[in-house]
Amino acid sequence: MMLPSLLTSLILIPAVGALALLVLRGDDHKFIKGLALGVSVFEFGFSLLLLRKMDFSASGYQLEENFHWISAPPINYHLGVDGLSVFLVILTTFLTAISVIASWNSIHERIKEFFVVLLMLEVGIVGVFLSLDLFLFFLFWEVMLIPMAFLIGIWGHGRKIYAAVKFVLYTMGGSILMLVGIVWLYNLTGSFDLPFVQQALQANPGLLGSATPGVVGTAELLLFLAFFVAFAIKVPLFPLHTWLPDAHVEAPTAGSVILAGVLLKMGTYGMMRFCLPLFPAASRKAAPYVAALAIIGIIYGALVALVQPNLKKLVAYSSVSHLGFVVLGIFTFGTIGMQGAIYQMLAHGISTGALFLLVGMLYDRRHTFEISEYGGLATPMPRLSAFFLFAALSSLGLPILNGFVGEYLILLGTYAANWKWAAWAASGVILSACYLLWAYQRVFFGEVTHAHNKELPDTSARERGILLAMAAVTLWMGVGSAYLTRRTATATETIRQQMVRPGDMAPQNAGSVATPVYPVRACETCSNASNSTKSTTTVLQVRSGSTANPVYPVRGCANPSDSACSSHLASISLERSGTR
Amino acid sequence: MAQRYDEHHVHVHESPWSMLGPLVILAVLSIIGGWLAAPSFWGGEDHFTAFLAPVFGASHAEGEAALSEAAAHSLELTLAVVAVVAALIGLLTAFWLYLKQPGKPAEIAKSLKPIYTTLYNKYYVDEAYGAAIVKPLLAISTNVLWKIIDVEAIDGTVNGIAHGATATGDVSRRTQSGNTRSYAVWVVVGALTILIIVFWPAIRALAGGAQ
Repeated sequence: MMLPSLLTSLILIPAVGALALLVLRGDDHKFIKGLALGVSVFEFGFSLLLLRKMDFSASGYQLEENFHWISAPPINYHLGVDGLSVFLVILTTFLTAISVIASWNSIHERIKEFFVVLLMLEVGIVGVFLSLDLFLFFLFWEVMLIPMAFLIGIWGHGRKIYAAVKFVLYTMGGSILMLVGIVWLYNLTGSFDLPFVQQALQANPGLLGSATPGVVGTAELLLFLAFFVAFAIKVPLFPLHTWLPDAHVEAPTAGSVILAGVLLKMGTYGMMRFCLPLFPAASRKAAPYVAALAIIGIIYGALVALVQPNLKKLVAYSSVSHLGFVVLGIFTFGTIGMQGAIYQMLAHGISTGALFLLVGMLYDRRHTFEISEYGGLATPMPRLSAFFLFAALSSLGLPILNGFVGEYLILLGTYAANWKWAAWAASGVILSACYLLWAYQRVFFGEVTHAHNKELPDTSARERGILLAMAAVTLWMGVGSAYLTRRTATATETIRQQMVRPGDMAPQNAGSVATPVYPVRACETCSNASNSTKSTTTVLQVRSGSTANPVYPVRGCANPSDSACSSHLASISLERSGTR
Repeated sequence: MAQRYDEHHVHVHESPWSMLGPLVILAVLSIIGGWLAAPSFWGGEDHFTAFLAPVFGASHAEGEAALSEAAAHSLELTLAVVAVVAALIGLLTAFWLYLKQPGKPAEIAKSLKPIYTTLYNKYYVDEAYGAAIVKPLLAISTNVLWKIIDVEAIDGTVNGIAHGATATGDVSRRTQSGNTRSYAVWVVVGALTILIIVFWPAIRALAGGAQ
């Protein structure tokens, strides 16, 4: 079979798998589960191919696929991947495969539909991370909501309908703002193509209402807010987080794993992919407020997690706290802080995913999440207790496990940007040890407090398998972090580079120890490339015959310290204003 | 190793080798560690300083030079002697109190009751932390942060917006009564409103002209 190409296949494989499941008869449960497992494992293996095919030293998007889709307005099927999205895609495919195995015996009704929905969810999430067209991105962003709502609403527990409706409405409320932002951006630039829009805005900051460097235009501020609020709801950033505990507690285990593991990262991914590169001035202006909310989220989430009587809710609130770190790292705009943010996204996906798997296994045995219903579980189930401790330690940031790397890098980067932020955020690390270890003590240590807990079976071979996989990744990320940070470095620098606007001061390199190398694009006019790392090679299209003002993004020299180039830029902008 | 529960082993018993083994290793290592620097007292090399030299580098060497070699050694020797003597006194006291005179500790505890209880409770540091930090933190987190701010204020607002939407719909759906005559009245009211708005300038001009 000829595959159209790598990225499209990544979206198509689970979609085809879901379709195949859909047309099959629903009574052979073993076959259905086997097929779902086969598809998700194949998809995971396929996504690992990305690592072989990508050149991690090159900036810009790779393995791009750009097909004409709708001519008016010009919407393209444009996919691409870079060091930021590739690992999120792999995390998605990995956690989906894990979720399929985790759901093996815990789903008892509508089994076929469950796996169809799970695979459709994967289609939506992978699509979000790969889309380079704003419209396509929005499409996948919304597509992903539906299967998730079904997962919670059909296979959830307790107030599942309430939780599902709240999740959908809350997220949609945010995405409507983003849709307005996308349409506005289209009106300004005449394109939905992300690389094109980014370069257009970078070359003509005046498009966003203010051409003066350092002054934030109203349009830019509003656009930033439209995107930011949509992403902040997804993260979720305090005080937009209340859908999360409800959705998590009522969702089935697989839903919680995907929700915490990947869905939340779509928010932080969006901030890095859209907010910072498209609206850098507004991002900088908003940074103190965003950081304040992130820090409140870190401490507040941890304190509320501390007093939860419900184990699953405790893990849910811990996500609010941990994702606060990610947002804080992103809004330091420094290399180390942003690298740490990417790392923390991946680490949180694994460690919190593992915690939700373990909580789900406890639920499978006792059908309750109440901490008071447990106690002394280490005696009947030593293996599960050991895995739980491992996951808890990685979540609270123990060195040599994955949580440490991300939080440490973020704190380091934040310290360089503003030491007071770092001081406040660091208290969240202590609190995370408090709530996790205290919960662990109450659930697993001491005498068995309820007689019926004495006979609980320890992990089955299936459960041990997925827990071992999670633990192995946790340990590997903790000791082999350089493998990941080296591969995300160029993407981070590219985003920092995209934030530079003509006339800006040389970027403040907050939180970088080594002298950074900015990939500088060659100035087209003077071809003065002081540092000729690969230039972005997006072909700039000129839109003709439209009512909106056509925009010709100028490939200016991104090295403002070069006086020869700044003069070129000045003359270009004069020419442009003259012709208008 | 099978666990034995006959009466000779009910009270204090030796730890199993799984615990003794590591302790022996640590004990041997601590003796070696203690004697690493010793050769410098009789003119040999201080292995520990030599080992750390690449870490501390020049600054350490300067500090070392400021303190004369002899003075440094006499200070170290004094500290070593004091530490060893203190340890030996502790060892002997424990030996005397718990093995030679098993009744003595209880007597002392009785005669020095307040001191004994303070020490027994580790100066009440844990209790102080509990009262000053842990309890208030848990109380505030439960009663203010979680139950009031999270559930009532933030989530209350979110749900309030949802309820607001439902309530608005509830009110506005009453206009859709299905009653043709009431619809006709609404059409007339609407038409009049539009007419007044459209002709408002003219009406004002007329009124102005009449004055």
